[in-house]
Amino acid sequence: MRIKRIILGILIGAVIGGLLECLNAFLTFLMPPLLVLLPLAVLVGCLVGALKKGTTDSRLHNKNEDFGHLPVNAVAFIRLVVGKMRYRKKVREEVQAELAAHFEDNIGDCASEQEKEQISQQLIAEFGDPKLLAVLLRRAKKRCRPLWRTAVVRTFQTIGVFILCLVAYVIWFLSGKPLISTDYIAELNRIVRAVGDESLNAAPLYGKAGNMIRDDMYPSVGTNYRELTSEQKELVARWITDNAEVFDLVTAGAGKPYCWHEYMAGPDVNEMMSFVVPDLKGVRRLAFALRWRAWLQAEQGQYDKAFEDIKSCYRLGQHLRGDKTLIEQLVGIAIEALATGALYDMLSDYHIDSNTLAQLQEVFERLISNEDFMISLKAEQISTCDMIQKVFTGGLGGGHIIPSRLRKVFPEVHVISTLGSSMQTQQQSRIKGTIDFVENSTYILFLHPNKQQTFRAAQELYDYYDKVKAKTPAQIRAEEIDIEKQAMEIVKGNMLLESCPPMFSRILSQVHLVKAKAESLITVVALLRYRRDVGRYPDSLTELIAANYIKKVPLDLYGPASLSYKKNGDSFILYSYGLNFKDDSGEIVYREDGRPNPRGTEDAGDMVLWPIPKPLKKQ
Amino acid sequence: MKFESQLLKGIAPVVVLEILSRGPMYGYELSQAIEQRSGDILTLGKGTLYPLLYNLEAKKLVKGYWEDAQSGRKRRYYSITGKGKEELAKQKEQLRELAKGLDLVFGGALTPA
Repeated sequence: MRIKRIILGILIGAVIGGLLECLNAFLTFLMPPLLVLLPLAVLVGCLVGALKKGTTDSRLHNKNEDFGHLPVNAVAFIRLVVGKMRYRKKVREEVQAELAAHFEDNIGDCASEQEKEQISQQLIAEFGDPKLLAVLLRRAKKRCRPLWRTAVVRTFQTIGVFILCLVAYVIWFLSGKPLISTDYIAELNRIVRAVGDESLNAAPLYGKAGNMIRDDMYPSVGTNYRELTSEQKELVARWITDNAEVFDLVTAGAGKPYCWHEYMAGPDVNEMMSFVVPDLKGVRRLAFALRWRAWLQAEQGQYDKAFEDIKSCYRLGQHLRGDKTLIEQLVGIAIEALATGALYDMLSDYHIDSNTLAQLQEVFERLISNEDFMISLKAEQISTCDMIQKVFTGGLGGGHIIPSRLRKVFPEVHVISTLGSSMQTQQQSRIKGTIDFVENSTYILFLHPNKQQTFRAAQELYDYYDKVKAKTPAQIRAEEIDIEKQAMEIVKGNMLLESCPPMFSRILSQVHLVKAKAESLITVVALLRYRRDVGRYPDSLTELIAANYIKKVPLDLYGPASLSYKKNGDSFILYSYGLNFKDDSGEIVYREDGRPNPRGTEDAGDMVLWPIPKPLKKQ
Repeated sequence: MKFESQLLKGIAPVVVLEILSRGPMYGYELSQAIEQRSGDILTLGKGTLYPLLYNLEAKKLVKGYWEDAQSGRKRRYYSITGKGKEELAKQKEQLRELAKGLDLVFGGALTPA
């Protein structure tokens, strides 16, 4: 009996412990089970089972009033039968009373205790095997149970089984481990390495130059040289002189045809981003330094040298583009924008002679002639595959998501949205947060696409972007494509991939701006040259082509044809239709803070490329 | 001669219903009544008696209730229900048919002379 109680205690402890584990897992948003509560509950259950003396059976047995003056053997028999019945206490009490009465009636005429015992023994023999009798009694009594009680019992049994299965499922689900089968870092290194010859690689030179910039010596001034005070400019000039070697290295790097880093495994192979991205802070500083020096030289009238530094800066940006990680490409785009922005400003601020402009045009034409401005998503795709490999298990059912790992990718997911909107009361937001949490948890546990489906969705997503990324905004509008919406349809319901489309859309729109500015720069330089040579601006861009200053007019990414040009006395305006895809005659729209909106808005304004839109003067 | 076999088990419910149709009884009384009224030929095993009574109760053929017996102690009495009476009549009819059939098979040898 004691062993049975211990086993029962262990089982109850296991169920309670399992439920607590699940509760704990839910409250900490699907963390892996602590596996402390379960053994603890089992241990407590075991101890309770071992120490518990007064069970329902023993309580029954201690009630002697039912037995009257029955002999010991009869009492023992009745207790045995009733004990083995294992049924509701009330029913057992009734059966006990009935059996006791039967024995009592049977020995009613006996004179001595000995005789009573003998007669009882005969009756016990007539009753037969107590175990079988108990079983028959239980079965018969069960049949007597009213329908509603049977329904309640069955319902609770079903719920119990369901909870047990759920607990087992959740524990199995939460303790899933990923199956790392592919070395995606090696694959990434294979695609980024353009050639085998290491001497053609700019990365080591940039790395060395970046490492030479000491944090404590780096001028902590603004990055826009034109806005620096004379003291700050002096500080920058001194730093440039002191770091001549840095410039030599970065210029040498910019002269190299290729740039690739070898991605290394991170310190923790279980981390989501398992490879180490190169030091981009150092690269950005190199770009700022080149721009500072270019401005310094332009101030001194050394335009050719200034343009050479701007070219190196642009080249540095280009080196970060291509089949590299998205973060590198974004920094590359920013550096390119930094370089073209500086060139526009210099062309606007200084009167540069025709020959220097011609050289600049030639250099810049060569620089961007083969440039694919579009973002490459190859490395991103590999990174996504690596992430899928690490967030999903590799086994049963095509591999399920591992919630604790998903949380590493999206740390904000586990934060129940207690922040809510300011309009909501704290109570409302807590309720909403709880609902979101339950929805998320249920979705992850039962409905989220598995590993295979996620791989397929990722492949489809990247194929889709490969297909549409080269389209200009005007083409996208003409074909009435909503890229983000269509991409979201592909990854719908996949928590791991749903963050990709909005991010990609934002990046693609940035790319269009950089491309427009880089391509139009050549036209602007050509127009300035024409003005220097002819003494006036051409009436149209066709005239500029006819005079052999440019080969073609860049396409307006937001318009039906090429960029728009208007001669305005002794100045001109060059613009793209901008985000509203309409010709607003080069109107500039401003943000609330007075800064010009570079691409206009979806309602008004154009993307004015020349003259450079200036911020509104503060009242 | 006592019957404690499958044969008796098959007719035990009818026997119990028949005895109870003459008045409510508690378990011990019932087992005594069966033996007495069958001239000690039919004996219902005690291990069968209570499960049988509970089964009949589950089928609503008998009704059990606690009451003070003549001795002053509480006993669980069983009485036949309306449904029990109908079932008894049906079973009796079948038994009569069975007896008739057996009689024919045995050429009247089963009928006492």
